[in-house]
Amino acid sequence: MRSRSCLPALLVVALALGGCTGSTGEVVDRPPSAALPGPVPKGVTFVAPPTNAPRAPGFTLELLDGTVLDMTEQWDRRPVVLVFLEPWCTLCAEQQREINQLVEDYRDVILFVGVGADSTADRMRQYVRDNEVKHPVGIDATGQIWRKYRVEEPPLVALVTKGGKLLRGWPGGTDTLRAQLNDLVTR
Amino acid sequence: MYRRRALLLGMAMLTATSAGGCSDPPAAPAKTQVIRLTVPDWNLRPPGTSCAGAGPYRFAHAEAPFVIRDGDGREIARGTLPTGTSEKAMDVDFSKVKREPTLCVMLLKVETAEHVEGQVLVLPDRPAVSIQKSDSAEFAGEVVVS
Repeated sequence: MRSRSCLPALLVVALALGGCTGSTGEVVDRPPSAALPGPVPKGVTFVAPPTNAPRAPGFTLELLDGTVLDMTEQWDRRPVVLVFLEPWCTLCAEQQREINQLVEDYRDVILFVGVGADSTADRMRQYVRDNEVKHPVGIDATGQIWRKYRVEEPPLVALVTKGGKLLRGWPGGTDTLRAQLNDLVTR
Repeated sequence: MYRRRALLLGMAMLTATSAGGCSDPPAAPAKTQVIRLTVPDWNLRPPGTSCAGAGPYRFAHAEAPFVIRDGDGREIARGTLPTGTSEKAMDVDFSKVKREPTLCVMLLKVETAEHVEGQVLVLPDRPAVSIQKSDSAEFAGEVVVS
């Protein structure tokens, strides 16, 4: 009698536990969600861009977790690094570890955003998992953002200053981004 | 006794003849053939680095599926494109710059018993391109995507 009264509770627990796993016991595929930065820490300042630097093309981007980012709002607060990438891009994967480290080192100071174009959301999620991507990623399904930034081939890294000036772009990726960020930020 | 042995021999010969005579000749075994695919994108890259088609050729990238068809449209092989490697687009010394005009070259390995030379390669939503004879014995054919 007592065991029967426990049955609903056991079912609830079982369902709650089962909800996180598939029928084979594998973890259910959830959209990866990299947290957006918090407020810029006190004491951090950004070097003003050259006066002749062009304005970065503004855009909105839907991230893999459904959040919509307005980039103009973002670079009103802090510099932004745009990482144009695709899951099948070998160079992108090779550079991801260094970019992940930069995301850690500049947490709350600089926003890093990955922008794919041709891949499906599922394939991009797989890339995010495989490479432990630490920054938010979205897909530019119409290709308009890629065209605005003249991305011929991934990877391309673009650095936008606080205030929205396009400071520099690196087709093929870069190994000098850290030095550039060090020059841009004082803390 | 002799009559019975002759009957058995006859039956055995008949069976062997009918079995052998009616079956198709054995299919040639599939072999690995390498097709050299060139993407003429003239993109600026360091030579010898990983690449995919650039600009208007962005459809030609690793994981993109392809099919090889014969003259009758019959599929003889399929696969996905591999990562390419950039090659100098022209014989000019650009040693003072990091990036120079390059083409992206992919080596497609296909398993088929048929010769791929003279067949066509089809990428999704793209016109078929013919697989030409290669100057190198290393490759079973060459394709330039368009």
